[in-house]
Amino acid sequence: MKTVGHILMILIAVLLVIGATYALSQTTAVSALVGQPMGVGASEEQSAPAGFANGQNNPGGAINGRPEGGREGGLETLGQNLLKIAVIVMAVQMVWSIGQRMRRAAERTNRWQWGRSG
Amino acid sequence: MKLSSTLRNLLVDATIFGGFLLATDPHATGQAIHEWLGIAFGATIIVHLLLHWKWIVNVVRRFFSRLPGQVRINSLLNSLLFIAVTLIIFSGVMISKVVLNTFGLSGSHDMIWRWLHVTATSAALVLVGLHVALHWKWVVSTVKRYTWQPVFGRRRQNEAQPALMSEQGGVR
Repeated sequence: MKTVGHILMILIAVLLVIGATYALSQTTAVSALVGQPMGVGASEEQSAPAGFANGQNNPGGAINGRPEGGREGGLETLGQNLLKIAVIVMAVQMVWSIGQRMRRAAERTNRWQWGRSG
Repeated sequence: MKLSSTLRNLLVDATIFGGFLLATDPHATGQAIHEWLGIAFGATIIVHLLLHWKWIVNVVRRFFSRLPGQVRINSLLNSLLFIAVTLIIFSGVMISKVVLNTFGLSGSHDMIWRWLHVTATSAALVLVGLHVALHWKWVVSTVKRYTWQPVFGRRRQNEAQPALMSEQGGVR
Protein backbone atom coordinates (compact mmCIF):
# COMPACT_ATOMS: atom_id res chain seq x y z
CA MET A 1 0.00 0.00 0.00
CA LYS A 2 2.90 2.32 0.79
CA THR A 3 4.28 1.71 -2.71
CA VAL A 4 0.89 2.45 -4.26
CA GLY A 5 0.77 5.68 -2.28
CA HIS A 6 4.20 6.64 -3.62
CA ILE A 7 3.17 5.82 -7.21
CA LEU A 8 0.06 7.93 -6.75
CA MET A 9 2.04 10.89 -5.42
CA ILE A 10 4.48 10.66 -8.35
CA LEU A 11 1.62 10.50 -10.87
CA ILE A 12 -0.16 13.49 -9.37
CA ALA A 13 3.14 15.39 -9.31
CA VAL A 14 3.74 14.50 -13.00
CA LEU A 15 0.22 15.69 -13.83
CA LEU A 16 0.82 18.98 -12.04
CA VAL A 17 4.21 19.49 -13.70
CA ILE A 18 2.76 18.83 -17.17
CA GLY A 19 -0.10 21.25 -16.52
CA ALA A 20 2.16 23.93 -15.10
CA THR A 21 4.68 23.59 -17.95
CA TYR A 22 1.96 23.91 -20.55
CA ALA A 23 0.32 26.83 -18.76
CA LEU A 24 3.71 28.57 -18.62
CA SER A 25 4.38 27.89 -22.29
CA GLN A 26 1.08 29.62 -23.10
CA THR A 27 2.05 32.90 -21.45
CA THR A 28 3.19 35.75 -23.69
CA ALA A 29 6.41 36.35 -21.75
CA VAL A 30 7.68 32.77 -22.11
CA SER A 31 6.62 32.60 -25.77
CA ALA A 32 8.50 35.84 -26.45
CA LEU A 33 11.57 34.51 -24.65
CA VAL A 34 11.53 31.25 -26.58
CA GLY A 35 10.60 33.07 -29.76
CA GLN A 36 7.69 30.80 -30.67
CA PRO A 37 4.06 31.53 -31.44
CA MET A 38 1.50 31.15 -28.65
CA GLY A 39 0.63 27.59 -27.79
CA VAL A 40 2.26 24.29 -28.56
CA GLY A 41 1.62 23.38 -32.16
CA ALA A 42 -0.48 26.47 -32.71
CA SER A 43 -0.51 25.95 -36.47
CA GLU A 44 -1.67 22.34 -36.09
CA GLU A 45 -4.44 23.45 -33.81
CA GLN A 46 -6.13 25.27 -36.64
CA SER A 47 -6.88 21.98 -38.33
CA ALA A 48 -7.18 19.92 -35.16
CA PRO A 49 -10.43 18.00 -35.08
CA ALA A 50 -11.20 18.84 -31.48
CA GLY A 51 -14.50 18.72 -29.68
CA PHE A 52 -16.67 16.45 -27.64
CA ALA A 53 -19.83 18.45 -27.65
CA ASN A 54 -22.84 17.38 -29.66
CA GLY A 55 -22.12 17.60 -33.34
CA GLN A 56 -18.46 16.79 -32.96
CA ASN A 57 -18.64 14.36 -35.85
CA ASN A 58 -18.80 17.29 -38.21
CA PRO A 59 -15.43 17.21 -39.98
CA GLY A 60 -14.00 20.57 -40.87
CA GLY A 61 -17.13 22.39 -39.81
CA ALA A 62 -18.34 24.20 -36.75
CA ILE A 63 -19.08 22.53 -33.44
CA ASN A 64 -22.15 23.90 -31.71
CA GLY A 65 -21.81 27.03 -33.78
CA ARG A 66 -18.17 27.43 -32.74
CA PRO A 67 -15.31 27.13 -35.20
CA GLU A 68 -13.59 23.77 -34.98
CA GLY A 69 -10.08 23.61 -33.52
CA GLY A 70 -8.25 26.30 -31.63
CA ARG A 71 -8.88 27.37 -28.10
CA GLU A 72 -12.07 29.10 -27.09
CA GLY A 73 -11.40 29.37 -23.38
CA GLY A 74 -15.04 28.67 -22.50
CA LEU A 75 -16.15 25.92 -20.18
CA GLU A 76 -19.47 25.38 -21.91
CA THR A 77 -19.05 21.68 -22.71
CA LEU A 78 -17.56 20.97 -19.30
CA GLY A 79 -20.59 22.54 -17.64
CA GLN A 80 -22.96 20.60 -19.87
CA ASN A 81 -21.21 17.33 -19.11
CA LEU A 82 -21.22 18.05 -15.38
CA LEU A 83 -24.94 18.76 -15.63
CA LYS A 84 -25.52 15.47 -17.48
CA ILE A 85 -23.69 13.55 -14.74
CA ALA A 86 -25.63 15.41 -12.02
CA VAL A 87 -28.93 14.53 -13.74
CA ILE A 88 -27.94 10.84 -13.94
CA VAL A 89 -26.92 10.81 -10.25
CA MET A 90 -30.19 12.49 -9.23
CA ALA A 91 -32.27 10.12 -11.36
CA VAL A 92 -30.58 7.03 -9.92
CA GLN A 93 -30.95 8.37 -6.38
CA MET A 94 -34.66 9.02 -6.96
CA VAL A 95 -35.27 5.56 -8.43
CA TRP A 96 -33.27 4.02 -5.57
CA SER A 97 -35.20 5.94 -2.95
CA ILE A 98 -38.58 5.02 -4.49
CA GLY A 99 -37.48 1.37 -4.66
CA GLN A 100 -36.45 1.40 -1.00
CA ARG A 101 -39.78 2.92 0.06
CA MET A 102 -41.74 0.40 -1.99
CA ARG A 103 -39.74 -2.45 -0.50
CA ARG A 104 -40.31 -1.14 3.02
CA ALA A 105 -44.03 -0.73 2.34
CA ALA A 106 -44.22 -4.29 0.97
CA GLU A 107 -42.40 -5.61 4.05
CA ARG A 108 -44.80 -3.74 6.32
CA THR A 109 -47.82 -5.18 4.44
CA ASN A 110 -46.38 -8.68 4.63
CA ARG A 111 -45.79 -8.32 8.38
CA TRP A 112 -49.34 -7.04 8.85
CA GLN A 113 -50.79 -9.97 6.86
CA TRP A 114 -48.68 -12.47 8.86
CA GLY A 115 -49.89 -10.85 12.06
CA ARG A 116 -53.51 -11.20 10.97
CA SER A 117 -53.16 -14.80 9.85
CA GLY A 118 -51.23 -15.75 13.01
CA MET B 1 1.80 13.07 6.90
CA LYS B 2 0.04 9.72 6.62
CA LEU B 3 -3.14 9.64 4.56
CA SER B 4 -5.95 7.33 5.57
CA SER B 5 -7.03 4.94 2.82
CA THR B 6 -10.45 6.62 2.63
CA LEU B 7 -8.96 10.09 2.18
CA ARG B 8 -6.48 8.77 -0.38
CA ASN B 9 -9.32 7.15 -2.34
CA LEU B 10 -11.31 10.37 -2.19
CA LEU B 11 -8.38 12.40 -3.50
CA VAL B 12 -7.68 9.97 -6.34
CA ASP B 13 -11.36 9.76 -7.28
CA ALA B 14 -11.77 13.54 -7.20
CA THR B 15 -8.65 13.91 -9.39
CA ILE B 16 -10.00 11.36 -11.88
CA PHE B 17 -13.42 13.00 -11.96
CA GLY B 18 -12.00 16.49 -12.43
CA GLY B 19 -9.54 15.22 -15.04
CA PHE B 20 -12.28 13.43 -16.95
CA LEU B 21 -14.51 16.49 -17.02
CA LEU B 22 -11.65 18.73 -18.15
CA ALA B 23 -10.58 16.23 -20.79
CA THR B 24 -14.09 16.17 -22.27
CA ASP B 25 -13.77 19.87 -23.14
CA PRO B 26 -10.80 20.33 -25.48
CA HIS B 27 -12.14 23.77 -26.40
CA ALA B 28 -11.51 24.93 -22.86
CA THR B 29 -8.12 23.29 -22.39
CA GLY B 30 -6.64 23.41 -25.88
CA GLN B 31 -5.48 20.41 -27.88
CA ALA B 32 -2.13 19.89 -26.13
CA ILE B 33 -3.52 19.87 -22.58
CA HIS B 34 -6.39 17.69 -23.77
CA GLU B 35 -4.01 15.04 -25.07
CA TRP B 36 -1.53 15.08 -22.19
CA LEU B 37 -4.40 15.12 -19.72
CA GLY B 38 -5.79 12.03 -21.44
CA ILE B 39 -2.47 10.23 -20.96
CA ALA B 40 -2.27 11.28 -17.29
CA PHE B 41 -5.92 10.23 -16.90
CA GLY B 42 -5.04 6.74 -18.11
CA ALA B 43 -2.21 6.52 -15.58
CA THR B 44 -4.48 7.68 -12.75
CA ILE B 45 -7.08 5.08 -13.74
CA ILE B 46 -4.40 2.40 -13.30
CA VAL B 47 -3.71 3.77 -9.79
CA HIS B 48 -7.48 3.71 -9.08
CA LEU B 49 -7.63 0.06 -10.17
CA LEU B 50 -4.59 -0.84 -8.05
CA LEU B 51 -6.14 0.83 -5.00
CA HIS B 52 -9.27 -1.32 -5.45
CA TRP B 53 -7.47 -4.44 -6.61
CA LYS B 54 -8.68 -6.60 -3.67
CA TRP B 55 -12.30 -5.73 -4.48
CA ILE B 56 -11.78 -6.55 -8.17
CA VAL B 57 -10.18 -9.92 -7.39
CA ASN B 58 -12.97 -10.82 -4.90
CA VAL B 59 -15.73 -9.88 -7.34
CA VAL B 60 -14.15 -11.76 -10.25
CA ARG B 61 -13.74 -14.88 -8.04
CA ARG B 62 -17.31 -14.82 -6.80
CA PHE B 63 -19.03 -13.43 -9.91
CA PHE B 64 -20.59 -16.72 -10.99
CA SER B 65 -21.38 -17.92 -7.48
CA ARG B 66 -22.86 -15.90 -4.62
CA LEU B 67 -22.76 -12.13 -5.05
CA PRO B 68 -25.24 -9.44 -3.94
CA GLY B 69 -27.22 -7.91 -6.81
CA GLN B 70 -25.89 -4.40 -6.29
CA VAL B 71 -22.27 -5.60 -6.37
CA ARG B 72 -22.97 -7.56 -9.55
CA ILE B 73 -24.46 -4.49 -11.24
CA ASN B 74 -21.58 -2.39 -9.98
CA SER B 75 -18.99 -4.79 -11.36
CA LEU B 76 -20.70 -4.99 -14.77
CA LEU B 77 -20.87 -1.21 -14.92
CA ASN B 78 -17.21 -0.93 -13.93
CA SER B 79 -16.22 -3.41 -16.65
CA LEU B 80 -18.10 -1.37 -19.26
CA LEU B 81 -16.47 1.82 -17.97
CA PHE B 82 -13.05 0.20 -18.18
CA ILE B 83 -13.69 -0.83 -21.79
CA ALA B 84 -14.95 2.67 -22.65
CA VAL B 85 -11.92 4.37 -21.05
CA THR B 86 -9.52 1.98 -22.78
CA LEU B 87 -11.19 2.75 -26.12
CA ILE B 88 -11.07 6.50 -25.46
CA ILE B 89 -7.36 6.45 -24.62
CA PHE B 90 -6.39 4.09 -27.45
CA SER B 91 -8.37 5.93 -30.12
CA GLY B 92 -7.15 9.23 -28.66
CA VAL B 93 -3.56 8.14 -29.09
CA MET B 94 -4.32 7.00 -32.64
CA ILE B 95 -5.66 10.45 -33.66
CA SER B 96 -3.20 12.36 -31.48
CA LYS B 97 -1.50 15.42 -32.94
CA VAL B 98 0.59 16.74 -30.06
CA VAL B 99 1.60 13.63 -28.08
CA LEU B 100 2.64 11.56 -31.09
CA ASN B 101 4.35 14.60 -32.58
CA THR B 102 6.50 14.82 -29.43
CA PHE B 103 7.87 11.36 -30.22
CA GLY B 104 8.31 12.13 -33.91
CA LEU B 105 5.27 10.10 -34.95
CA SER B 106 2.10 11.11 -36.74
CA GLY B 107 -1.44 10.03 -35.94
CA SER B 108 -3.96 8.30 -38.16
CA HIS B 109 -6.37 10.34 -40.27
CA ASP B 110 -8.86 7.49 -40.41
CA MET B 111 -12.27 8.78 -39.35
CA ILE B 112 -13.11 5.50 -37.59
CA TRP B 113 -10.72 6.37 -34.71
CA ARG B 114 -12.29 9.77 -34.31
CA TRP B 115 -15.78 8.25 -34.35
CA LEU B 116 -14.68 5.64 -31.79
CA HIS B 117 -13.12 8.35 -29.60
CA VAL B 118 -16.29 10.46 -29.59
CA THR B 119 -18.72 7.55 -29.20
CA ALA B 120 -16.74 5.97 -26.36
CA THR B 121 -16.60 9.37 -24.62
CA SER B 122 -20.36 9.81 -24.86
CA ALA B 123 -20.84 6.31 -23.43
CA ALA B 124 -18.27 6.95 -20.70
CA LEU B 125 -20.08 10.12 -19.67
CA VAL B 126 -23.24 8.13 -18.94
CA LEU B 127 -21.26 5.32 -17.28
CA VAL B 128 -19.36 7.80 -15.08
CA GLY B 129 -22.70 9.27 -14.02
CA LEU B 130 -23.99 5.81 -13.07
CA HIS B 131 -20.68 4.96 -11.36
CA VAL B 132 -20.87 8.12 -9.24
CA ALA B 133 -24.56 7.48 -8.54
CA LEU B 134 -23.87 3.96 -7.25
CA HIS B 135 -21.17 5.32 -4.92
CA TRP B 136 -23.08 8.47 -3.97
CA LYS B 137 -23.55 7.50 -0.31
CA TRP B 138 -19.82 6.94 0.08
CA VAL B 139 -19.02 10.22 -1.71
CA VAL B 140 -21.38 12.24 0.50
CA SER B 141 -20.27 10.63 3.78
CA THR B 142 -16.55 10.92 2.94
CA VAL B 143 -16.77 14.53 1.76
CA LYS B 144 -18.73 15.31 4.93
CA ARG B 145 -16.14 13.56 7.07
CA TYR B 146 -13.10 15.28 5.55
CA THR B 147 -14.39 18.71 4.57
CA TRP B 148 -17.58 19.56 6.43
CA GLN B 149 -16.92 18.05 9.84
CA PRO B 150 -13.36 19.38 10.38
CA VAL B 151 -14.63 22.94 9.79
CA PHE B 152 -18.16 22.98 11.14
CA GLY B 153 -17.69 20.20 13.71
CA ARG B 154 -14.85 22.16 15.33
CA ARG B 155 -16.87 25.38 15.30
CA ARG B 156 -19.79 23.61 16.93
CA GLN B 157 -17.38 22.15 19.50
CA ASN B 158 -16.00 25.64 20.22
CA GLU B 159 -19.50 27.02 20.57
CA ALA B 160 -20.47 24.20 22.91
CA GLN B 161 -17.39 24.56 25.13
CA PRO B 162 -18.12 28.00 26.69
CA ALA B 163 -21.70 26.91 27.36
CA LEU B 164 -20.41 23.79 29.07
CA MET B 165 -17.93 25.85 31.09
CA SER B 166 -20.64 28.25 32.28
CA GLU B 167 -22.86 25.32 33.18
CA GLN B 168 -20.03 23.78 35.17
CA GLY B 169 -19.40 27.16 36.83
CA GLY B 170 -23.06 27.36 37.77
CA VAL B 171 -22.98 23.95 39.41
CA ARG B 172 -19.97 24.90 41.49
